[in-house]
Amino acid sequence: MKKSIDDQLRKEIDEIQPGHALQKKVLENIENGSRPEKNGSFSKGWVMSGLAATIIFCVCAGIVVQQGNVERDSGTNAEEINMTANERMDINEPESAQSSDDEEEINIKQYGNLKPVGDSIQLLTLVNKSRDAASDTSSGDMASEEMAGSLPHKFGEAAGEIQNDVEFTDMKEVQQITAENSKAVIDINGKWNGAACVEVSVSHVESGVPIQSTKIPGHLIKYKPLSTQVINAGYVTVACLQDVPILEQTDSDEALLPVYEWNMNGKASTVRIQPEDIWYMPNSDYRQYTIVSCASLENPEQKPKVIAVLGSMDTETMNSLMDEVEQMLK
Amino acid sequence: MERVDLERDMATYGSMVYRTAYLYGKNHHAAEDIYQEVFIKLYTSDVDFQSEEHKKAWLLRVTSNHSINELKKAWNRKKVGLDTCSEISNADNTEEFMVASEQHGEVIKSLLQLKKQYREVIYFYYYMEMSIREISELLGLSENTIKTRMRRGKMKLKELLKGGYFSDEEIN
Repeated sequence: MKKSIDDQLRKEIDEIQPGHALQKKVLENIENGSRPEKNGSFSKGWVMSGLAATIIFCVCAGIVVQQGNVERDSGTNAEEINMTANERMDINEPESAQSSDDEEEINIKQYGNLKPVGDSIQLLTLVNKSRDAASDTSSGDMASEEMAGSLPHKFGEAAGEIQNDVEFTDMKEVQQITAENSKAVIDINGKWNGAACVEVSVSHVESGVPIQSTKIPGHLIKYKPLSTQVINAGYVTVACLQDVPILEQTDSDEALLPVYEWNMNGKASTVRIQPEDIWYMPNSDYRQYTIVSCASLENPEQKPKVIAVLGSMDTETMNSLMDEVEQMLK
Repeated sequence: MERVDLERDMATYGSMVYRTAYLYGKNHHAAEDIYQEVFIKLYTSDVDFQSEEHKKAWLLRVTSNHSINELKKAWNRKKVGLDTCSEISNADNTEEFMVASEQHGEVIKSLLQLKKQYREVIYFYYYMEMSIREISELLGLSENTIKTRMRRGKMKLKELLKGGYFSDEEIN
């Protein structure tokens, strides 16, 4: 007898089930003080837990930094950038990082006069990572182990080392974080060593409280939330174009680039980008940089704003790139 | 709403919410997010449900609205789920966010290929066993529109299934 469509459909749809842990996870999120208030603002408990997470994160970062040298080996290019913790850019240091003869000049340039797209725009904090740095994880340091585990085997015995971090000293400062002063945050983070791994932390759009951080080694993502919070945030994207070993190029000049998106549960996805969408044209000259964009939460259809272009390239190339970006965004 | 009530509702309607979200977004991660959104909304809402049917209809509507809103987002239109991203296969702790590629049956595979407007009416009609009138109320569309979408959707589904499962009478 021929099976009817509804029987078969029912049978197949029944197989779609939420994961066993989902209900528990959602309940936990609500329990952990992360429940939004009815008026849409966030509870004090949520804010405080976010602050606590930040402090813990910063402490871990400090421990890792003190491990010492960070070395980067760019692999096939055999290009080396050596950087020690002591060489980290001071907060008040100008954006053009000091460079020695042995170091490639590091450029960090802020794109234009970034204006908030709306009230609701999120912050990106970039923390440099070294691809091969601190490969010795035998110290037992939790942060190092976590980082080592999070990097793809493609990059060898990689483990990251946090070079810089941002400390949120008080609520006022936290709350002030918007697209406009994210410029300052990126400047504070300053020194970009051209490493293959980027750490991005995302803060809640309204409170500015850090929600999670993610390590992005090259073209791959390793997603590990610091904590899953119940939020109504939108998303933040980071396009990491540097040292992209697999850049899928199609006949139509369409490039599959690693762009990561976070939403309330911190899920990440890759996004297929058309050249006309963004600020990047597939060009082999421009492989060594990272573009950070901020998307409007209020107007998700709106083209993301470029916050900064980070990369290790000469000034001329950087200026040329910025001009190109500027033209594209017009 | 008390936590115990929320837990009960999640146990009762969780699968429905998740499946509905998945049928819209075709993405497990998005479905999980919508699941959370919907139940937070339930938890924080002041709606005085008159019956379980009322609550079920409310949940379906909220799920549907959330799912459609997600689909409207520009970025989401281009999103490729990580579960389809074959590059990511090397880490030990990826199970937290990696969902094994699901082996759907042929009917649901075909259903997921339909446009959203056909997919939703077929899902609500056949799976949720809702009447045309109920679907029209849920989606805020006229009954005629629902009927037209239903007919077209069934025709396309039949085409995708190469004639299987459907008789001509069923299409009309």
